[in-house]
Amino acid sequence: MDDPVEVIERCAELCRRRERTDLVMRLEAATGRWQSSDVRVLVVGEFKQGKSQLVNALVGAPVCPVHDDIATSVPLTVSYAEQPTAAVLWAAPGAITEEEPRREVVDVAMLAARISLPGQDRVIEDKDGSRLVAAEAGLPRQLLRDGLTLVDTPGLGGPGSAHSAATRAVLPSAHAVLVVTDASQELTGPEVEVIRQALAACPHVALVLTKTDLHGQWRRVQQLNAARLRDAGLKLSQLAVSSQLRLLAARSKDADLNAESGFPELVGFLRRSVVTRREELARRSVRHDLNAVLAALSSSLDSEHRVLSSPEHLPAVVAELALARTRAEELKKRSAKWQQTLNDGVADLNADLDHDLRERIRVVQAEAERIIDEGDPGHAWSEFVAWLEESTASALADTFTWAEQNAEWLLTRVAEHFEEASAETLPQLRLADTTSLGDRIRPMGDLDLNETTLGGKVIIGMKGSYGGVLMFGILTSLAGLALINPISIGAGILLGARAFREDKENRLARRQAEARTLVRKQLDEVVFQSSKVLRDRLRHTQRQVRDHYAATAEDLLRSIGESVASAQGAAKADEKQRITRLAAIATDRTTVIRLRREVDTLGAPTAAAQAAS
Amino acid sequence: MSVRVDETTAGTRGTTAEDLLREAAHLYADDPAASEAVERLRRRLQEPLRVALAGRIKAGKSTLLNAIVGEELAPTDTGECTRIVTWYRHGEVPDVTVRLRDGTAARQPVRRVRGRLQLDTGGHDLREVARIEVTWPSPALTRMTVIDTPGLASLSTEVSERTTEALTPELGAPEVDAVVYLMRHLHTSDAELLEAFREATVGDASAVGTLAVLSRADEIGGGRIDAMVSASDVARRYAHDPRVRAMALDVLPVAGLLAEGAHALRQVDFDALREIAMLPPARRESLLASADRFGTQSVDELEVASPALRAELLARLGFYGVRLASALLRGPGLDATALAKELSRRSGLGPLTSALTTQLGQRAGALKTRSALAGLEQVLAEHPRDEAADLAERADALRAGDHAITELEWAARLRRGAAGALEDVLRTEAERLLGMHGSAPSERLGLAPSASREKQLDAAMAASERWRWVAADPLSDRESVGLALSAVRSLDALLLQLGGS
Repeated sequence: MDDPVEVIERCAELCRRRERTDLVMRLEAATGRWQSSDVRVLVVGEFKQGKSQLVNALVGAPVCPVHDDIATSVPLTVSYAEQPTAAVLWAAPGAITEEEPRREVVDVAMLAARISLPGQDRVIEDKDGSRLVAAEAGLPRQLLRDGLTLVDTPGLGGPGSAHSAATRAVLPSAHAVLVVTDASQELTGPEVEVIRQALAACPHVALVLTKTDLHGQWRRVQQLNAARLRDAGLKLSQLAVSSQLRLLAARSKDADLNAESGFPELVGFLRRSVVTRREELARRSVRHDLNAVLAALSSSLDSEHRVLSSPEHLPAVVAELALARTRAEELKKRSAKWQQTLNDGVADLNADLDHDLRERIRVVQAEAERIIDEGDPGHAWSEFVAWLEESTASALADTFTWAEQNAEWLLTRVAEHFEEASAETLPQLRLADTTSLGDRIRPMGDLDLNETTLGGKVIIGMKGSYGGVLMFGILTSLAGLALINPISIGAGILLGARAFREDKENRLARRQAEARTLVRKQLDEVVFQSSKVLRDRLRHTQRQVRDHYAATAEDLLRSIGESVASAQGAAKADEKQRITRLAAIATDRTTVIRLRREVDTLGAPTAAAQAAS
Repeated sequence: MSVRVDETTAGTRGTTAEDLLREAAHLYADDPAASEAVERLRRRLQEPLRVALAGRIKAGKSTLLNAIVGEELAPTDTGECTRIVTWYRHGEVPDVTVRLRDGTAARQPVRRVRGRLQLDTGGHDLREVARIEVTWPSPALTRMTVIDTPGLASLSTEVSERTTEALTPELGAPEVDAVVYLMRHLHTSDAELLEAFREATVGDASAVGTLAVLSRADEIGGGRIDAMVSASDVARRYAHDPRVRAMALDVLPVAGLLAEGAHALRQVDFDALREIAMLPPARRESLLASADRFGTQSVDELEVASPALRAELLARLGFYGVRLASALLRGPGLDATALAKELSRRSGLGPLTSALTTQLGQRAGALKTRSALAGLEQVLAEHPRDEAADLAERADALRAGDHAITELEWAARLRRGAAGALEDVLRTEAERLLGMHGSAPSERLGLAPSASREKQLDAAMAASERWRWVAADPLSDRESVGLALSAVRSLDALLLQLGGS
């Protein structure tokens, strides 16, 4: 695929020549978005399968804690940086808050030690009671340069296993998932379940079979796994690797060993998913931005051209533009259709989510009470607490996922309104004859300007953007939130457990009553805190969406204004100027056409991406 | 030793579990179902200790079973293998019998392929089969009957259920006396199973009837030469984990495959391993970099150690075993026998068998009596008669009066945090006095085995006085007093045994 940055640059050049600094700024933002478009690859699996070692071997540095005993306690994000950097993130003690976690910069060499979890401790706490919630590392590695971000997650089923729901909750935010299992045995039931969830949440999933250096029979395990996956109806590729050999190869600079480690295939998979992801972004974000800019340019070029070639058209052109301006202004108003949809939708969603959350927690509570009534809660209290935590976390994860899906649907509807409105708003400057409505949904492959209206172009361009990039940016934060919450809720329950344990001498009935009260209190707290978080988050989303569309409406107005100005400027020109400027406009229009063509090819999937999918 | 304590205490009352069972047999002479159940319990009392091997799938249960039996008997495979509960008990003649759920049994031909038994259900549906019983002439089996179970968290839930059912019967006496729980790491489902076992089978005392084994211990350290050291650290930490403490006596690391393979080391294996050990360091390291290389790469210098033989060694000893052997053979003068012995020693099997024979074996009497009494009470409750109430009362009294059982129960309660008001030092001492770490007087007193009789007497007197104080202290809570009284009683028996007081 061509580098879109180069196309953006040429487009910006044209804008500068036309003195459209507003458009130049927009293009700069597009470049920034493109460059920051990272690809999150989640590394998940049961604990002690070699996830951390896999990440280490990929980046060739011991950033993740690897130990025979100690386990990774929090998600660790490894991404590109010019200089090695590392930080740990602390959440303030107490309730679930929407505050940003506190960042503490640490030495890269010390990072692994800081986030490893010895023994059965569930959370790492700072002196002031803050909890460690995540860690980040930046490394100057070629592999990461394209925006590849690896996320090492705490193992499932290990110490602090309430984390598993958190892992599940962040699955949708991943662009690719590596499910890690070691070659010592075939896939277990829970592992197959993880794969199923990963596949449901994310298009690029691979099963990575680790420790092939240690287990001579890994090929047999691989076959067994393939059979299991086939039986379960799951389709994904399986890559066999040895982190040990990869690290050894890196030390001894042994290419054969590196090939034997199986890592070249894994890197290939990652690169392919990076490319595929880039493809998506190019189609959505960059193409949209470029098309919008080119449409704006085209519009002003056209109005100027029309007036220059026959100045008597001026009043007509200006009238058309004035009409367009009125429509654009409509969009800015509170009463605009899209605003109504957004406001009503968020209000509905709030109510639905609250109900959904309560309903799910109610089910957990009923089950908990059944368990308490059936036996002596004192006996297996800690197991019960673990179960309660897991169920609560899982219920929350479901609600958050549901929230995300619903919000996405809402945003799509808002986007549709906006596209309809803005399509009408842009001046329908016809170069040839009118086109039918059907052209609006014509694929971008059709290049002839004579056949596609500007409005149609804009719509198609926007669809990608508003349905995609924007939602992605806003909504992943909605999902990612669940990462922190279940853990803090867990801490709350543990406190309850401690108070409970002290009361050993009590009679069974009293114990049961007390357990029920504890559970009820805890779940009330969960509902209270979570619904606040959900409401805050939705409000935040709503605000972001509103601001975004308001800004777009503003852009539209400015573009129309510029078109009016250039049309009026054209009317004042004398004969000689007219000829020069007409020539210049012709050149610029050719450039625009050429750029449009290039923008279209940006969207076509490359061979590599097709192979990956 | 505990057996002697058992006899002393129970003997004074003139009744044993055996006596009660005999009376029960008499009582139910006219009820075939009940007398059959009682008869089973009586046989059970005569049998050696029943030890079940349990764990998640592929934890290495069958491999460990072979290592314990000292013969490559149970089928093992890379894939999930054991699907039916299989009993291995001692007998003069090899025999395989399939026991069905409806009570019937069908003998199967004994077939072995490369040493391993070929077990099948003889055409019966897996669901109909209760278990397979293998009788085998093996000295190790005279000391205990070993039960192999299908793995938990298996993809087929049904197989998992069969194991849970075998270990935690809903009703009746527990089928097994002790459990060796194999785990690779302490996974959530491991904790759950251990807990389920404790809850349902042996009730309160399972913490003293269960040993946890960190199987495939060599893999914890990635097959490195120091892997077992690392595994020992992990095991020690797990042994102190409250969840594990409440459920298992101890945690031991065992490299099962190595333990199994070391038994069957041949001269040709030894020659091949020595050849590999003698390779120039660079060649050797390159060969030992990965299992694939080791099993396939052709190396000119190696005459005996052909790729095929190396692949076989890998399958039998594991990668750790191969690396360990090649390191050991670089040192001076080991012959094949000495190497086999050293490999076996380092596999961690020794400590496991000694724990089975000392920690569990010495308690076998108490464990079995407890199972038998629990079973008897169950039968009595299910088949109520006028005399049954009296018998049940006496069974209960016997259970309460049998100090060996009391010791087991207190030890288990201690493990679960009972008598928390006492200082940790005292609780640790109590655990030892109750025989958790071996029943010999020196072990109970925490002295070296070589300690003189006088020294042991002194220690026992001092301890006795200490615990009497605890029992008499008006500030002690009820639990502490109970514990102290038990400790005093254990010490009394111990003093009697030492011939003092």
